[in-house]
Amino acid sequence: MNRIDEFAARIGTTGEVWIRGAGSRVEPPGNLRTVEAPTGISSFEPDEMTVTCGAGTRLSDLDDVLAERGQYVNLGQLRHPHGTVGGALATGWNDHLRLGRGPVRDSVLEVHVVTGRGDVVKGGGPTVKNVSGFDLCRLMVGSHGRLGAIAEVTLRTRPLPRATRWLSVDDVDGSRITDLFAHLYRPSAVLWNGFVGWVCLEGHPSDIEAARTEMRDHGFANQESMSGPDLDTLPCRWSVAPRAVVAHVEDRSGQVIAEVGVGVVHSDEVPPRRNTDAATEAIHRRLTDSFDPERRLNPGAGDGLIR
Amino acid sequence: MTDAVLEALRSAIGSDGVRHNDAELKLFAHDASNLVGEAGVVCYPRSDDDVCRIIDVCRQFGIPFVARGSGTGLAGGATPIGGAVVICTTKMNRILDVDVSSRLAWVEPGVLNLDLTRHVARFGLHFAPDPSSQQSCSIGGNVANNSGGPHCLAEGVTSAHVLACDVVLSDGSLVRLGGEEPESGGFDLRGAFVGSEGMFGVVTAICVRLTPDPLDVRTMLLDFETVRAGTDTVSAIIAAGMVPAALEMMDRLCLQAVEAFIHAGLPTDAAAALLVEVAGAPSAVAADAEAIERIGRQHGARTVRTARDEDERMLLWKGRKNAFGAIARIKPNYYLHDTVVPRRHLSDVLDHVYRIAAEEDLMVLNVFHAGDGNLHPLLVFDKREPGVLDRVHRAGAAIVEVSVAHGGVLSGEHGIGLEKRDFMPLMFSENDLRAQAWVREAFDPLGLANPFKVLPSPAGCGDAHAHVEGLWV
Repeated sequence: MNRIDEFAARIGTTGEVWIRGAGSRVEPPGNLRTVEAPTGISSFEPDEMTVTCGAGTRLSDLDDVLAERGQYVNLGQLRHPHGTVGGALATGWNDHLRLGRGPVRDSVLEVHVVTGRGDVVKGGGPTVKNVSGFDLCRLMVGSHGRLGAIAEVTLRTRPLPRATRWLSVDDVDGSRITDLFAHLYRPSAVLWNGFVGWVCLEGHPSDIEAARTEMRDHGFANQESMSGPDLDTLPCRWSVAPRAVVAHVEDRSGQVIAEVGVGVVHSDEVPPRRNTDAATEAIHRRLTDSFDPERRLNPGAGDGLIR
Repeated sequence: MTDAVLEALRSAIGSDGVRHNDAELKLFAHDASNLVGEAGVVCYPRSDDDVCRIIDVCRQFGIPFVARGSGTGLAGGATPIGGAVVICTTKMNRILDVDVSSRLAWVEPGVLNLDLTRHVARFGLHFAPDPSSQQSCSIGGNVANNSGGPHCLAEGVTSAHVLACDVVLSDGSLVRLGGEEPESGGFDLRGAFVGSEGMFGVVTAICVRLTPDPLDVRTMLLDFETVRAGTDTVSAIIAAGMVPAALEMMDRLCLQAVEAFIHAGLPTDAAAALLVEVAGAPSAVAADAEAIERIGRQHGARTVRTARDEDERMLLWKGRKNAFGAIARIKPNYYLHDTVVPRRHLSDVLDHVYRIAAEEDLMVLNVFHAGDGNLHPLLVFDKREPGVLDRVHRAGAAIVEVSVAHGGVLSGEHGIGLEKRDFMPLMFSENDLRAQAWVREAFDPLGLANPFKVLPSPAGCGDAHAHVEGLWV
């Protein structure tokens, strides 16, 4: 029996079950039977830029193996460095380099999941480009394991940037942050708290230096900053349209740091609950009815995901 | 199509939006593939309201509908089956909103891919997916097929550039999937919808990401004495930690055909040539270009030609993008395939492709996205030749099988449609296919949106085959 089938056997076909990662993102509720996903990298092909691993593989282990060949995979590790590949994908949480590196959901090429019925289902394919069949990979990312327990994935890797540099710029108001964003060529992050802007530039060191000089020429004096702002003091995430970010930051009285160009606003205030329209809710319900009719996988995970 | 349905459609969206003449029905019985079905009636909605009303009529009479953009699809995805209602989005072609500061745009589905890029060029932006048909394909079609293109190697395919879709479902409801905001909550229904080949609903507005134009671009042509030297170069470039903006390959027959057509000074005696483009910030571009030239020469590149100016760059790209026009000079008909294999198997699979073509006594040209391992073998033939369609059919099936056997996939960018529907079991188990059917049913429990495509169904198969003529590869 291969490790995916073993995982499926442990999940079984009846009774509630919680897929346990490292518990670094979501704490399992008490009194639930827990199952851990397979661990370990089964193949890493640097010249294909793909890696296949069990969902229980630690992010740090994966990062180490990829870094030896100058590559990384975008699973939102900058903000959430701990935990497992499966946990990173099930939550789908992005870090604050999403502007440059893209969302976590674009990293998955092939996924094997175990449904609530106990069946193993594969979606996607092992190659870097594939439109064969419907996109189950993206559907699984951020689904909190409610449609299927992620067993194994093939991920798309990327070359590590030649250099990464964080800069900070003082005295930045709403119009200047807009101006700064417009001037920069493909920054990896532009963060702003209403007064200070932080910019992450990645690429060739000479290009980064040239961008710094150009920033200064446009009146944006900048200093090197170790690693950008501390987001840990702002545990809540608001999601607003990028075009509404400046107004949102200007309107808030509490502490915020916004991801300009993306629309995530890190805050110490809890965001209002989101309302789902009836049609979307019906699709959610029908999906769950098929994939996990008894609602036995990760019950309650992804607050309010399924009603 | 019954008079009652026609009357209901006319009263729903007006007589001028409903076409039922022989010429149009014949034209809309197929897409750009060889697969011909049967259109019951052609409707031209002008708004999402119109789309809702058309779908209401379809539901009322239990008639399937097929959304269609420009009809450039190559897999029969927009081929209507058994007299379906064709919903043609060409009159929904407005660019609704461009937000330059946030680098996004809302467009209707009938907006042509290149028209959007032209529209936003003045802001130094472009829409990254660039299929070879970008002059004529619609963005709604790009969403349906999750289209690619040469520059998707670095930038990703359509899904990576779509933030939201407004969609009319088969129950007539209009729903927004995704959103401008980054974390719109719930399952990624937007992600599931992109690439659903019209089987989940009809998209009426799309929010796309716009990409800043690169600060610098370098385009190079490297030529090789063997195909393997070229494909080894591709792998070595990627292994060295570079993702060029594009990495395209043409084989000898293709180079000869294109050169005769555009006179760009292409190396017609080479076994293969690589068109490599690096784009981005200047120092990175210079460093990558230098490294690529070095890697190419280490792998036996005979010459490395770097475009000196924009004119020469455009000329090199013209050769690549107009390859299919050039092919018409060789034989009147062609059949274009689309599979993906791991890059390290490109040479072996190409050897098989040449062998398969030789065994079927067919001419094959190869022009493809080598950087993604996305093969596009092009079989050229004259369909008046007796028995040739059978040979093309067999060769196509063999190419798909050999690609999957080498760890590849059925399609990289054309989609499954009708063309590869019956090959799906090569890649997917019964469980896998059932799960895909569940997703479809979640969006379209009535099964009215573009039925008989993508998923092989024992019940549907016979029906579909009975109504479709053409090549099944």
